[in-house]
Amino acid sequence: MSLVLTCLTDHEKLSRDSLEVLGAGKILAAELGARLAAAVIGAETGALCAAAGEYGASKIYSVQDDTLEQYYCEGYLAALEAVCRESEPAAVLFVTNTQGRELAPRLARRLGKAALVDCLNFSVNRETGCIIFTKPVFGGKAMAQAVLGGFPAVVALRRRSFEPAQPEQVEPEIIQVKPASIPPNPFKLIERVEEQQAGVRLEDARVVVSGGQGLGGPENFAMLEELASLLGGAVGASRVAVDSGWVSSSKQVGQTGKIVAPDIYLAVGISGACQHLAGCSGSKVIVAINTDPEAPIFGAARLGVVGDYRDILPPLIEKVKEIV
Amino acid sequence: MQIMVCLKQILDPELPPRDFRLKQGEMAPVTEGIPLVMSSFDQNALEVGLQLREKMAGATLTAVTVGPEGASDVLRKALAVKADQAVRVPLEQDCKLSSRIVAVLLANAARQLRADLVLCGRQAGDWDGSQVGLTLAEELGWPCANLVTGIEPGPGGLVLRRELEEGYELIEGSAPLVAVVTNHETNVLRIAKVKDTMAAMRKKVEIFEPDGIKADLQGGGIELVSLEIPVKEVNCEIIPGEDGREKADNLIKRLLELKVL
Repeated sequence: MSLVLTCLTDHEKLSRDSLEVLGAGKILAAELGARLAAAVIGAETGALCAAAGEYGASKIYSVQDDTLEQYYCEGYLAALEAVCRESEPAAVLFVTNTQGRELAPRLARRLGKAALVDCLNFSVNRETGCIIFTKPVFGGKAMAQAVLGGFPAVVALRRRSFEPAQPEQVEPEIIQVKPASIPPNPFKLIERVEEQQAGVRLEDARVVVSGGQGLGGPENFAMLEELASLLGGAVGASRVAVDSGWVSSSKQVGQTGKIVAPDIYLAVGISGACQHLAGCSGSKVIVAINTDPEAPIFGAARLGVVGDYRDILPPLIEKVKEIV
Repeated sequence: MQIMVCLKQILDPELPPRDFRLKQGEMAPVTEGIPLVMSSFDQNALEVGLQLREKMAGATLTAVTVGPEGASDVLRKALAVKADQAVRVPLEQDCKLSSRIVAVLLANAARQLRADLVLCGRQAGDWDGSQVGLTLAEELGWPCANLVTGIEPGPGGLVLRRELEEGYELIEGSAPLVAVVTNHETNVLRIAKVKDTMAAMRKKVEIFEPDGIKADLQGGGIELVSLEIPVKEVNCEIIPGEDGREKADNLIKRLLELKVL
């Protein structure tokens, strides 16, 4: 029976990303009539093996080695290559996060295959058994469907494109894999600066208030911060605002930034480039505030306010204070 | 230190969606009459390379592109911001999602140039493949740092600033290596002086023929089966109001009605 291998790059606990890849893997395995497998890597993988089993992975490939205590690309690649050679999966799935983004193309190359990154969906052609992947191209202006030649098909799926897997206890078969050699990290860590997040994480926020070029400077983000915090939400930004140095890049929403799916996405002074919309199109209601009624953002928003945000946000903040 | 920066010429990504069209039956966009530009993350990579060169005595920077003759425009742009040298690897076809082909050609160029450091943008703004830099590193067997925003010379080699999900890290590596660059306020490409732009028009673009590897260029392991422009069915409801206050009130009312507030 063929395998769909999901690559979990967490330590100890399964992240939302890993649950999503397991969720997607379950769907693909059902379509292919394959078994859902997971690769777990670390110095001590026991807890992750158990967690993957609780979410439906019936075959777990574990690579346990002291050198793999912390994630590093070269080490994980060696581990995943060994797992793929041992398991011969039909498909290898990642999430397009920092790790999946670099692992998928390099792993595929080592297996003599090509990869696809940032895929939104897949379907299986019943006659040929081919898996057809859908991927946005041209910054989201077009959708491409593509087939990867040969097996495995190595793919990284866009975050928030699949529902996280639901608990489903299976008694997993655990296979320990020993790579022939694990190369050391070619890079030495000098310093890691983790940004302290005040309030909710952007990706988990129920309300996101984002600002763009129209804000004209960093000082005006204060108003957005106030509104977001009143609503228990988080502040996001367009790429222009990040490139101008108004906010840190961890706030960037879009194809190459954070992918968010809040109940309300309030886009303030954002023109609405496709690559930005790619990061917020899963929102329940997009609200656009913009002075230019022709701005593309109105083509994507459910509700639009034409006007200067400086006239609209202050009364909006007052009103929100009354009701929350 | 030989720095090689990989640049791609693409359809202007700022083109509004309403002007973006596909060629009939070709799985390719209409390019006639649409400006072609240097892919934006490649601009960031170029700026990172220029800043590093300024800090390293004797370093040279070579801009390389894979593409048809017209793609030399991005090389001229690089020469205008003072790249030392420009190289084009001629390739008529658009590789679309088959990044492998481009990675093989660029790896070959890196060997020919005896490059120590190869810089690429994280993804091209046309096909968004996101893998040329990473697979190029595999082709060369070099270490690769992804999502780099800046590079400085350090005591033990090069110090790279790398974006994390929340924050950043500084890592040290030694050449040869590949760095895949993402955007940051510190790496927005400088603007060329008019006289340098003029001078760049007269500079020579070297040609590296991809002779020996032509046989390898079929397919690249990815078959594109369809390309479509998605149909958007959003009808934006414009919130009425005479002034800001009225608009704000009406907006809150609608959000409450939609049960999202």
